[in-house]
Amino acid sequence: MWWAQLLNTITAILDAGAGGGGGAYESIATVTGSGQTTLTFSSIPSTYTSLQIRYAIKPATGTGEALRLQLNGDTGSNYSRHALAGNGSTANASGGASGTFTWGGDNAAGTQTSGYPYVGLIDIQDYASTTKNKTVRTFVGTDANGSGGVSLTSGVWLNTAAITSVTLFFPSGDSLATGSLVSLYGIKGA
Amino acid sequence: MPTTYEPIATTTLGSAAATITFSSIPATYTDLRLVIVATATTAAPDIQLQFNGVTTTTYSRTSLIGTGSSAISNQASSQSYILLDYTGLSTTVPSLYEIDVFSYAGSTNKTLLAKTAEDRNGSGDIFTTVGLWRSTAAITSINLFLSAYNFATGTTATLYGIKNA
Repeated sequence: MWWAQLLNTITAILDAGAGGGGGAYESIATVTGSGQTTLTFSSIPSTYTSLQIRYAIKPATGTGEALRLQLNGDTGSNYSRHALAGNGSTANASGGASGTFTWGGDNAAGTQTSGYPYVGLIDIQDYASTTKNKTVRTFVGTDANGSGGVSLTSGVWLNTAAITSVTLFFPSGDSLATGSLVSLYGIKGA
Repeated sequence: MPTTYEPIATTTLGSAAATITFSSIPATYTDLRLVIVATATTAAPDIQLQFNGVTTTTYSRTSLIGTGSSAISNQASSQSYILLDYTGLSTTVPSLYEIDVFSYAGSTNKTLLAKTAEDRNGSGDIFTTVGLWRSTAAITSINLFLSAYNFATGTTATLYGIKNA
């Protein structure tokens, strides 16, 4: 049937997508804010090539304390980080080695102001490898009409284990207010 | 797992145009991603973005730019649009824009992250920005326009929807 062939063609085009799209990009889990100081995506399947976390959050206290990230529950000094940030007037580079976390956000990206979301993209490539250390990249920011900041960070977890869980947390006990949204996606290779 | 990253619409200009508009955006996704590959009829206009046809001064941004010789951060508040680049479009070398709009259908103020690559073989920049639209309305349309001149023939813009679990 000509229409079935057409439907298959359209489906194939949509599945192929672009920019990592189509059936290659799948939602794994979502957390909505309800006062959590820590959130963990656990039991992450190893069936993808890379992971992406997308968030639009409201820290409850509005202090702008940056989200921190740990992998597989490891709280050892096995992480390092670099950041390139702008606060609207100054560009700044910073970093840290042998720390107990890497960035899931960045303080230098600006103080979050009540009512204005803090948004971010976190990419983790080759997360299921059992032979490679793991690199994390973030692009985060917030703007409050006259204040704010934007930041690019890179981090490494010096461990070759496959990543099965990702934990995001605030320092000093800040928490995710209602309306916060954090979603984990898996991206497949060919 | 369901497919969660879907193309909503693509525009490829068959002739020069002053604006590119995506309208009737469904509210069924969590986030939007807009990918633009653009040139202009005359150098070097900037791409500007508005939502829902709103032209009031409800937009702002904070940007981080690398020019090849220095890193710069600047900011603009109470604007009538969100600026998406620094050097501006070339007539021959395409600039690449990736714009992520978060929780676009929700009832909070709307924030986007944009990164723009515009290298000119000896000049150009990498431009990143966080942009804010102070509105709690769901985004149903996106309007792209230039500070001067027109988008050139062949400019493409694709809007994707990303849906969480």
